[in-house]
Amino acid sequence: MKDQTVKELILNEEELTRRCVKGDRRAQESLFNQFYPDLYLIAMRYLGDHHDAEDVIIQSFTRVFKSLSKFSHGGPGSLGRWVRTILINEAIRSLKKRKLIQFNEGIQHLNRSTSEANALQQMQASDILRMIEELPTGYRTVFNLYVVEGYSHKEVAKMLGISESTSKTQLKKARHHLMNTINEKKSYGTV
Amino acid sequence: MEPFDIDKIVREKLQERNNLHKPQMDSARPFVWGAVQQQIATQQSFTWYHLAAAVVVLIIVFSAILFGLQRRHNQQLDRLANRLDQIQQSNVAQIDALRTKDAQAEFLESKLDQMEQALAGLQMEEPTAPKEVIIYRTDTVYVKQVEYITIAADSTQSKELTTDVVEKPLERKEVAELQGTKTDDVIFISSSSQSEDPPSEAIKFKFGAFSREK
Repeated sequence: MKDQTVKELILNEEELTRRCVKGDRRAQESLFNQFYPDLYLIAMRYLGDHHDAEDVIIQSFTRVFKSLSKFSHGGPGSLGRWVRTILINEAIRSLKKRKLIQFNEGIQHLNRSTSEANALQQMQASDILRMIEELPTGYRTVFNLYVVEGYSHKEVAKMLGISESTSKTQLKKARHHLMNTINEKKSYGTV
Repeated sequence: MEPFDIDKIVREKLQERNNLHKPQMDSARPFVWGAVQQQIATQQSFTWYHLAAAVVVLIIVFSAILFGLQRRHNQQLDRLANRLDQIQQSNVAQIDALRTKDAQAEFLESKLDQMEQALAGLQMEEPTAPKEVIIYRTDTVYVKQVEYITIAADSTQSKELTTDVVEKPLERKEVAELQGTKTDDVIFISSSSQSEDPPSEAIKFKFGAFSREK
């Protein structure tokens, strides 16, 4: 019975939102369970540390429940996008607060080959995620925002308080770093 | 391989379901949910703390404003006092003259009071106008008669009254002896004629009738 109720709540985001705003503890738990796995992976992708990810998730959900009354439903998936945006902002705020984002300005050239692309295609999602998490913070943040979230360099620059050129450079370096990692894995035979 | 290809592959791969961090994720879930609940509860109760803090802040702000106003007021008072001192110091001669005039005015006023009091005392001592008083004076009528003769007539004897009957005074009194005496007794004035007629009302009078005169 409880599972059925939760399922109904998941299907109807508007109702879920309304109940959460009213302070319905079960609805809040349902919303938490619905978005927790995705948010955990995203937080890990940005922060690369479990404790930091948990802290950011706590802050994000707290902000979500606090601001949920201001959320206007814009169709299916809008709540998920809104929650995801909140988490990303919280993650960036956490990184900035602890001054963990460092941007190296040096430009490195990347020699691309089709074999790396094939290797990337053959890799599992978890391996790619792990590689992203192992990127330096600056590279990782820009890569996540630009490649995964789909923000433009202008938006990334604004979010991180850097120039567009820095954003572009960081992205190039992130890609280069990823390719190097893939090459290393290929050489070790792990891919 | 173009950068766009790498991005595309990564994006597609990340959309796949994966079990990376699943054990840590599941183990942290109760803790994270508990912490979120606690944060929500803290936020809900924070309203009261917020209100209390707002009240305290308001009190502090009002106190600061009042303190500022009082301080400014005191500064203005000090300025005025200093200004007054300066004026007094720069106009010593005029102030002395005014003080002398004040003293003179006070002296004259006190003198005027004294004079008014003295005048009031004099008016009190003046004799009052005599009232019109009616004085009743008692006059004494001296009857110029040497002697009063009281005739005692006996009714039984009157029938046989003869000329032989001699009137005999029963009592003789001096005038001085009668002075101041009031009496209702009928006094007949003696006459030389020894008439037997009863005394008329005309000659009958009372001393009392003369005792008063307006």
